[in-house]
Amino acid sequence: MNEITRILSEMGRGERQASEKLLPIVYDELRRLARQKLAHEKPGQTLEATALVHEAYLRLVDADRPQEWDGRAHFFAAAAEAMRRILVESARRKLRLKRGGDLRRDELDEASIVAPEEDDRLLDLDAALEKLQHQDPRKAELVKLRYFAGLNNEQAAEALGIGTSTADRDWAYARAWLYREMGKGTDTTGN
Amino acid sequence: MTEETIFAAALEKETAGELRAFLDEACAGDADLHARVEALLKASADAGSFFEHPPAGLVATVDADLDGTPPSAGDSKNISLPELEPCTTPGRIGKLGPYEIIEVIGQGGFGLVLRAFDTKLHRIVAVKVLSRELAENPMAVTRFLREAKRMAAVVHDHVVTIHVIEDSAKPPYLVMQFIEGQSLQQRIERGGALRPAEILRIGMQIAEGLAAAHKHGVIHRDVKPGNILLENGVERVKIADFGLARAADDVDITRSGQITGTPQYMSPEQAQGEPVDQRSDLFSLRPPDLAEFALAPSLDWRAVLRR
Repeated sequence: MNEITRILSEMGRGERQASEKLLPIVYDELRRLARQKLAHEKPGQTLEATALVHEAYLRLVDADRPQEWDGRAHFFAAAAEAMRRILVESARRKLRLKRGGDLRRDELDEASIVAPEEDDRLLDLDAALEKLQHQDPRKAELVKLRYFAGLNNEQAAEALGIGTSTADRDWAYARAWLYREMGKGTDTTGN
Repeated sequence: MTEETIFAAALEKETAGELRAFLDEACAGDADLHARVEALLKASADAGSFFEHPPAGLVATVDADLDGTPPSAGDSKNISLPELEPCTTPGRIGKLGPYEIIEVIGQGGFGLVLRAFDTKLHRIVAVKVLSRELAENPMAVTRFLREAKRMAAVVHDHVVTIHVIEDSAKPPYLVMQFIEGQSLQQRIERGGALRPAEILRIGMQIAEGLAAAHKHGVIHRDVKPGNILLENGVERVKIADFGLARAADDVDITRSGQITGTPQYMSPEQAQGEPVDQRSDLFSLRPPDLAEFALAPSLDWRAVLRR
């Protein structure tokens, strides 16, 4: 049994410390997987963040031991958070480089994110998401699962243990809330 | 009413007039609340396209391979999604031909099973993609496609229907009926013991499905609870993965001289790598395994099959 599968089953048995161990491992594995895949791509090819998360699930979670949805939910929650961090760090680093500030190299620098406007938007979203996290953690979690892990409404609802209509309502509110929040910092014209 | 409940109710309003009247009433003179809800509604209209596009992906650059340490797969398994085209529909991982991939639902020796939306016929389907490793082996591809074609001829209530065989795709894939439900394996693990009547009903249906396939000369080769699907509700049996075990076996035999499969359910001739026929399927469909799971008295299924 590999490490992630083991942690998932510990979490399934309610062992609390297990969840703290999961995130760093999933984060490292996602970075490693991204690097490994990007090394084989032609320059300019993109690697979809959400597809990467799903692929990581296949690679990292022991297929011979079919996961109950519970285990998958834990995995995707950790992977969504890890992917958010990877994208945000990459966006920050790239903007820093663009401004000529920090020239330190890092493995993911070389394979960083697309257009600068998108980097800015992503950082705006992340700042808004952090506020939402304080105000309404469940909605923030839902946004991460849908946006960064690419889960659909049904899957995200199941992962959070809520009904699909609740998830639907939460999603509508959360994304309007985030978008309003994102507009506050960057949009001074009121449009 | 809170900002959130007013927002949710406001989304339901159909006309601008209706909306205005509702907001005036709900916010009851609270100008600040009114403004916040208005901003939310406006953001909601614009947020769609932002949130429905997946985040910008990671982009490969020329320098990517200059990184000192060669990337290693570590304990990751060598399984990967086929190359997917990007898909703009929310909640999809990507696109494979006309199929929008929703999620990975399983994997076996032959490759991956994906849940997908068929954009032409507007229905949910299961897509089975031959693994990259097997797709590189011409013999495995030929057998995979041949078995699939034979299987496609079998139309039976208790056999998963094959809709399409994409043999020119690389890697090739099959599009099949998507069964909403669980496998017999999951049913036993989650739901506990099967009652004797259920064992009989499920056993009969498996036997009927196998008989229909055998009539067309198709042998399953890997009958086991994990390949027996039970449709939600009525728990109608659907046998999946006919003949696919064979494509995987070939490669493993040539590579390592070993036979893969599911030993617990394998017939002696199969375990010894000898030719198999429909009797091997019947061997796998034997009661002790089910009975052991189910803690039910052992049943002689062969007696059932003779009926």
